[in-house]
Amino acid sequence: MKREIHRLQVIMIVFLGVLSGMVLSACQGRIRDQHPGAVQVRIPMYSNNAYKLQTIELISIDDMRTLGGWAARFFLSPTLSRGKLVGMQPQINTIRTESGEYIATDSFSLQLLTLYAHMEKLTLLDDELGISRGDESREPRTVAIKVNMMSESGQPDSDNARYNGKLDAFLFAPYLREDLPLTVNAGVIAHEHFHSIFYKTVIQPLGDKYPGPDGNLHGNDQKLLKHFGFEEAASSENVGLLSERDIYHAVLLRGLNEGLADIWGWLYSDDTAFVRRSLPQVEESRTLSSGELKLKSTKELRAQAQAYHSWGNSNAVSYELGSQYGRILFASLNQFAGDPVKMKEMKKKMGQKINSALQKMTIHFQSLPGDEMMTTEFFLQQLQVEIPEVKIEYKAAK
Amino acid sequence: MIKFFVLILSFVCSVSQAQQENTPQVFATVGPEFRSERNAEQNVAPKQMTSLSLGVGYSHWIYFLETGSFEETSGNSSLLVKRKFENYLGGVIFESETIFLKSKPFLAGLFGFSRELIDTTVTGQTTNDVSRPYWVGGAGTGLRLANINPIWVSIEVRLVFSEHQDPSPSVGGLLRLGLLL
Ligand SMILES: [Zn+2]
Repeated sequence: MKREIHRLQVIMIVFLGVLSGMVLSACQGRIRDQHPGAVQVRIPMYSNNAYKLQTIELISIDDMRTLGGWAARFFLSPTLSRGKLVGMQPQINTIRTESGEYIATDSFSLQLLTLYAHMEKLTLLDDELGISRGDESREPRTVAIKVNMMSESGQPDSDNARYNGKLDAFLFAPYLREDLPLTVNAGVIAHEHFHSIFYKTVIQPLGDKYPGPDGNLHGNDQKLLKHFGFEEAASSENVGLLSERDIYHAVLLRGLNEGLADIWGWLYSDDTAFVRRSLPQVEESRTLSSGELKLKSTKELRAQAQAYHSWGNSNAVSYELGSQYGRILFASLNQFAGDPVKMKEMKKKMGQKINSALQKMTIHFQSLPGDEMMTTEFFLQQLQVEIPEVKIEYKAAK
Repeated sequence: MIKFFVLILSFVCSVSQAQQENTPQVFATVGPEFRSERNAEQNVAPKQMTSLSLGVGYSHWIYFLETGSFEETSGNSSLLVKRKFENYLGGVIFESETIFLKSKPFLAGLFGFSRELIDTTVTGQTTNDVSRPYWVGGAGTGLRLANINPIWVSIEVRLVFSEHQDPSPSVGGLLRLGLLL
């Protein structure tokens, strides 16, 4: 018996030795999952009309725990201070499987990981299409999540995503529905990403000439900024001073921004009904593959914009126009649906040409005489010149 | 501080030669264990699991195997993540003869691994994943009610170090109810 106790104590001492070694190493700081270089992650991705878990390689992540890397920098429920977002950086929880893949261990971590992956892929897509953000150093995109925003009615906003050009930030309000969260919806993320392209290609170069305070429609950005304490930008009072011509152009450019953002969502995700996947209450008209290929005439849009004459109400007109642009461009590419290789090539080309047509439209808009208006057809005509191999067809109302 | 604690524990271990002749005793306990864990929103929240221990005791020394687990679910019906955390540990308790607050104080050491099982459901399709084993070590101290043999009732405070968990070390607590026959 004595001998047995002695043996157990030897085991005990070995055990304590290992334990103290671990204690010392752990005291020197938590072992972090740092991985310069590529990592494999498993996230929900769209394919064949459904979202499924897929293994994706990410090349930009330096720190898996804080999701640090060049593609995105997250802020959790941030506030605004001196025109900048300030907030805590979230940390995600993952496990690593025997085969080396990272798997998120809770829904919020999975959403952040997926959002990060899309930010990386969208940046790489911009590179491929030759769309420069003007920062070759690869500054991470600012992505705010669980943002306490206000809706138009002054209620806490939920189930919404926006891009804000002044902050150059993507803002995601909490998602409370039972459908696909916006933070994993590839089409929605690409839609928002397009707003940043439009901001840098059209709104920023136009500067004071841009007819309105901001470029996209997901809620009133003025109220949002006011809520954040961004007084400088809170100039919605000036909206009442806009001329009839400015109101028309504001509705037109916002509509174009929304329509092209929907196309971008599809170009990137292959999903034609991505909005309804997260927000089923949104009208069927936002689905790219549905409806007639009509386009409002300049005259018709002028009359409608004038009739509403207020910002909140003209949103509906912009969305309606945006859906028309979206459906027309979708149909023009859908001619290649039978040939996946050609389709892929044309989608890429369409992405490039949308960008160059926007640049040309911006120059045209700047040079418009004070009494002339840009037509609703102008952008599509410009795009048709850029991409002659794709037939852009629609019924223009007279 | 922790290094000091471990030194004390190994000292106690090597000097107590457990001179009395003893027959081995069966040790079996069950009880809730709490451990702190940081979530993605950076809040440290307690997690509760049920811990089961089985072992043998010789005089002041008890050697045991311990297992515990907890489950949690997050997300909505379109994106649901079910997480199961499992602990597999070996441990030793050294109990003092001194009576303090009608109880016998003890020191405990632990070593083993944990793993996590993740079931991710995306729009109705579930995928199951298992983590690789993550090393875990820990040390604890507690009090066991004296003079109610063979019933074991004890409370223990633990410091758990893990390769994977955050924060590490995490402070935990454990209530044990069982037998030492
Ligand atoms: Zn939009």
